Amino acid sequence: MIKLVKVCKKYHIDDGVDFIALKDVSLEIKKNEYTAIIGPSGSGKSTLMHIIGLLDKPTKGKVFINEKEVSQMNDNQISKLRNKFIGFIFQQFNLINKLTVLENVLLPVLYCREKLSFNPEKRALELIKRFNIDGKENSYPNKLSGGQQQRVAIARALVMDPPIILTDEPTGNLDSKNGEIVLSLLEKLNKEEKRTVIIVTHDLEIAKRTKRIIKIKDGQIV
Amino acid sequence: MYLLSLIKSAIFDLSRNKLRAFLTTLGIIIGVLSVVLLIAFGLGLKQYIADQFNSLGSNLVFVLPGQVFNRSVGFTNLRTSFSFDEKDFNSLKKVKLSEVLVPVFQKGSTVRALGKEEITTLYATTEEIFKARNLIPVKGKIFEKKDIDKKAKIVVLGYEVAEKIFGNIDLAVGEKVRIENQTFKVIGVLESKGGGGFGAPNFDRFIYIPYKTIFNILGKKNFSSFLLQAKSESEIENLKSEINKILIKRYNKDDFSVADSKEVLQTIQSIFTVLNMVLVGTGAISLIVGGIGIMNIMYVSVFERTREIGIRRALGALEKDILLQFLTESVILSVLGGVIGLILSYLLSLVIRIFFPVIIDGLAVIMALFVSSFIGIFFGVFPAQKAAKLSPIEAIRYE
Repeated sequence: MIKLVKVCKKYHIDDGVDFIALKDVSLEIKKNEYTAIIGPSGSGKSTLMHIIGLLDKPTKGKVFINEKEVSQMNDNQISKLRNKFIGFIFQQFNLINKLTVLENVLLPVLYCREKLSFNPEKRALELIKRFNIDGKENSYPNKLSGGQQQRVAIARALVMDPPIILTDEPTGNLDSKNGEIVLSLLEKLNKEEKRTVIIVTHDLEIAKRTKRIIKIKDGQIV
Repeated sequence: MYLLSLIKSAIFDLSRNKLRAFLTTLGIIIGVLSVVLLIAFGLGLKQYIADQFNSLGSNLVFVLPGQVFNRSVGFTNLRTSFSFDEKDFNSLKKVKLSEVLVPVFQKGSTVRALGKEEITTLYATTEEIFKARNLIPVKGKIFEKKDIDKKAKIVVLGYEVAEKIFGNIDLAVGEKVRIENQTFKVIGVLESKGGGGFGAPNFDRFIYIPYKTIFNILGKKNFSSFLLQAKSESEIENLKSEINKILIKRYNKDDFSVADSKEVLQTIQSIFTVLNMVLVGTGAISLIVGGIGIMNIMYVSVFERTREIGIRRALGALEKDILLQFLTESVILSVLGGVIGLILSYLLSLVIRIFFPVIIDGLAVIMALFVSSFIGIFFGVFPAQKAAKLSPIEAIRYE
């Protein structure tokens, strides 16, 4: 499903000084896997997540999604792939505060130019109900608790029915109770809905709940 | 749905900072206001001059000294020293296509009476001037053919002259006035034609005296111009060529001009058109300044919403989507400015109309809306492009 071959990522800091975030990283994540990418801060795990999530391009190496090489694609094609294939869940929730809960959940639909096989509004409302935030459809995110906001973000990640769920410290801004709700949700998405779920975290306890742990340190898989 | 959400989002973003949006729009409002009003002034002025001309008789042909009117250059080679004489008057009498032939000797002259003085334009002419120029007496009468032959010392006053000297035009007829050191009897006062100003003559400040009377007093026998009238508009050109054929026998081509009122009108209007274009151009500069204001605020907006751009890009927004989002905002700002500017111009024109004729025409309205949306696009595209080109990952990380 996702394959990285000898991926390098270099950042120019300044005055010709380069920071190497990823060094020759090769990995494959198969369909329906439940994977954690774990490493301390500065290890390159976020960079890895961005490359897997098609938010960033590697300096060197190849990225394949469903056997298609991403580096050959232009920005429009990559954006469409992000829209359809990947659902993001961020630590900061990353909701847009000026949009209502329903509008936030429907945001990916706005950028999908293909005809959908489902009614997006109906689906969004179902997801909202499923995550116990019904009644808040027309509220604005900053009026919700952290736990509620993260559930809105999960609903948004699922609205396009993507095969891959990519999360970055999804419980980082939540208390343990809400964190638990989110984690069991992710487990369900993998187990019951057969989605590929990838959690990027620094927390070993969370990583232990997945089926596969990829450890990263100093930009390399260890 | 896509367009609707773009507009909704743009309006939401703009309304979050109403004062800022208003101040940004103000530049466009002032720009559109000045351009539309200046165009309205120009059109009003044109119409005003045309109305003035039409009120002074239609299908008129003027014979003037020098090469006065020239379609391509406007006024040129004005020869004030040249004048016509009675020989020309007699030869022009042979013109068949004109119903009237009015000789005019024109000079500035002071009218004195009741201890008051008024500087006027003296028209030494024939009784036909009144018919040709639609001049109707409101008090008393106009002079006749026999008064000319009698060299009668009588005068017909323009409305304003009578009013200024006698206070009330009812008191003017029958009174004595001093003109060119001679005593004249006022026999009539003409209906007010209004007008004057903008370099156009004010016919209410004219006085009319039989030409032979003036020739007798001044010991001169010169005419400064002739006025003829074609039977219909289609006859104007034929009449002009007939006059030309007669005068060319005696004078050089450059010594005289034969012009019709339309030509005179066009020449005067073309001068005002150029003047108006310069003014409108000046007004347009404020539109550009307004556009720069929009560009400035859009750059600020892109900077403030970097994170939002990142989120949208992560969720699949194309560069084009982000571009359109910001472009929609700048276009809404500038079109809003355009519309408010138009409404204000309309309201102001209602007030100005009390003092001065202004015409807001459809073309100016369409132009204002077109130009303001163009400015929105032109000045909005640079900040919008900056937003679109932001790397999603850097944008989303932005705090």
